[in-house]
Amino acid sequence: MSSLVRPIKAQTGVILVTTLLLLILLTGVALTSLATLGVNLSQSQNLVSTKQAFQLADAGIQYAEKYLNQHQILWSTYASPTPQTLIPSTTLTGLGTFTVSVQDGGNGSLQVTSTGTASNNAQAVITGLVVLGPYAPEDAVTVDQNLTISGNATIAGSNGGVHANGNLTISSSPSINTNATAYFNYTATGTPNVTGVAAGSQTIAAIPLMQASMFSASYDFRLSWNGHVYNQANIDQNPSGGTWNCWSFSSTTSVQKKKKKHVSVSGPTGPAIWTLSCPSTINGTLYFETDVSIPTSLGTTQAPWVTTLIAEGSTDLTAQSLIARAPTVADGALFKAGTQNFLFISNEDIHIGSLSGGNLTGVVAAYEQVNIEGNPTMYGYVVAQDGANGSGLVTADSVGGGLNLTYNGDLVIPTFLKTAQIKTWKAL
Amino acid sequence: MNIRLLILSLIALLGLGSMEAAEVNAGSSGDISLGQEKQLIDQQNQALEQEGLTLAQTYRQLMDQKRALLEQLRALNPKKGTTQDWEDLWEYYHKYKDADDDEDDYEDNYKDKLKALRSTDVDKDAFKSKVEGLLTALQAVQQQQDALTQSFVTHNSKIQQLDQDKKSHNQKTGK
Repeated sequence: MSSLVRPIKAQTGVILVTTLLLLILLTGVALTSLATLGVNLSQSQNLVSTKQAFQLADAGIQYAEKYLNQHQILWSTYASPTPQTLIPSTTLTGLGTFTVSVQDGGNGSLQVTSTGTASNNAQAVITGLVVLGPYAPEDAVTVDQNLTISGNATIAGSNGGVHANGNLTISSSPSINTNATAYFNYTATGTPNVTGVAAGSQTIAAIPLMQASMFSASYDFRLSWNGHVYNQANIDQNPSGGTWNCWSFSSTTSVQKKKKKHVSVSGPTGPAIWTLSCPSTINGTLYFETDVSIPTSLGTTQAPWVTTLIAEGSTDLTAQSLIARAPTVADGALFKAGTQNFLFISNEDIHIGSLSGGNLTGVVAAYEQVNIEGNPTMYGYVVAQDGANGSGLVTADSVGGGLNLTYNGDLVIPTFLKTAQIKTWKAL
Repeated sequence: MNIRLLILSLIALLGLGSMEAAEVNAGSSGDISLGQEKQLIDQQNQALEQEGLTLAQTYRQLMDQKRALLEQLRALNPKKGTTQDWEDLWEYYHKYKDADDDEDDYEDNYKDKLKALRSTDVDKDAFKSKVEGLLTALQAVQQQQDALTQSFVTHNSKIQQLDQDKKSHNQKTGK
């Protein structure tokens, strides 16, 4: 027994010493790790603050771009030799503040400098040159008031988004490749598939003014209010006043209209209208001093209708199939720089009705409202300026049916339709 | 601001003048040929297109001003409320200022909304002063929009009259 007890006592001492040594070693390792962690944490916090300051400065530049776009009329006032405040200190929730100054940037540009300040006073400064350039919207569909999407549309492409400067309501399951945004409220009662931001309270989308008379220098033929057709030299192409290239004229429509914004006035008869009455017409840029109706299918994939339609009234497309595109430079004399890439321009509403087939390429711009139904395939963008509500053709901006619209941010339109754009950008 | 209103008034007056001239011409249409009548209608059509464009540009500028002011208003406290809440604040203020003295509901709505949109750590009077400065500016823009609406009424009645003249002319020519 005694020989057994003795070795046990000797081993107990060894264990105690070993345990103590191990504890000291582990404590050392732990203290070293904590010290390293503290340094890393501090570095991370600084990094987060710097990143936030940078985001704030960038937000200031974006905000300045939109602000300048809305105040193009004051462009020369901002082009001062020394910096002046453009946007005073503005807070972004949870991030910090930004301020933006502006001065002359040379060659008609403005230099904007944005300073972002994060919550722990970390600062970042970004400067950029803003120029007035041709309008190109961020989204495939842009309206100035409320927009309702009730069909299962597919909005595709790098700029495949929708935006309303009022409320955006989606009651179906469209697929939207970028953003679905609204200046006021965003409401989705369906199950939309939105890849980017889907929200309200977003910034305003600037829309340049587009009215028929701004394009009156660019037509091939003017289809007049009196049933005659004139070229740019004002020579009557249709002296008999009958049907011209499948376009027939009527001055006795019975549509009640002319209820302009905030005003209710009903006329005894509607204005005159030109109607496409057979499936063959002339290519070119046509300017209508009336409403336009297209109930007849036209164009094939091999031979699309190459046209720009400009209407002082509304444009009503009810054909089953329409394959049409805006003229390009390759079309020679059909191409007009003054209307380039426009397919439909209307002073009143544009209704793209029950197309079961068809392919439309170009910009669609209405001064009043736009309604798209059916299943058209379109490339380009759609803009409703909502400047009035006079035509009874469309009462509110809406997209129903199975529209398949793709937009990749291209389709340059005439340079006189300008928006403020960031040309260069660098962090200081 | 006032210059723009003056210009609009002048446009409306000139437009009315041209319409009066057209009515005189229409009244004595027996004295002018159909060609001359068409020419007159064309001229009026062109003038009304230009007037419509000017009115549209003014409308757009006023809308831009209104939205820029609304954004500045919202920037006073982005932590509180949506853009719609700030729009509601403006609507309540507008109704409150335009209402008769005995309509206290509008004032209450406005004050409640103002309170809801102010952070508790912000000085009440300073916040109210900033907000009401912008709301006063919005009120001024709204007054211009109201004046513009009247110009639109005049413009639309001229369009309607011209549509009738066109129809009458087309009937005479068998269209």
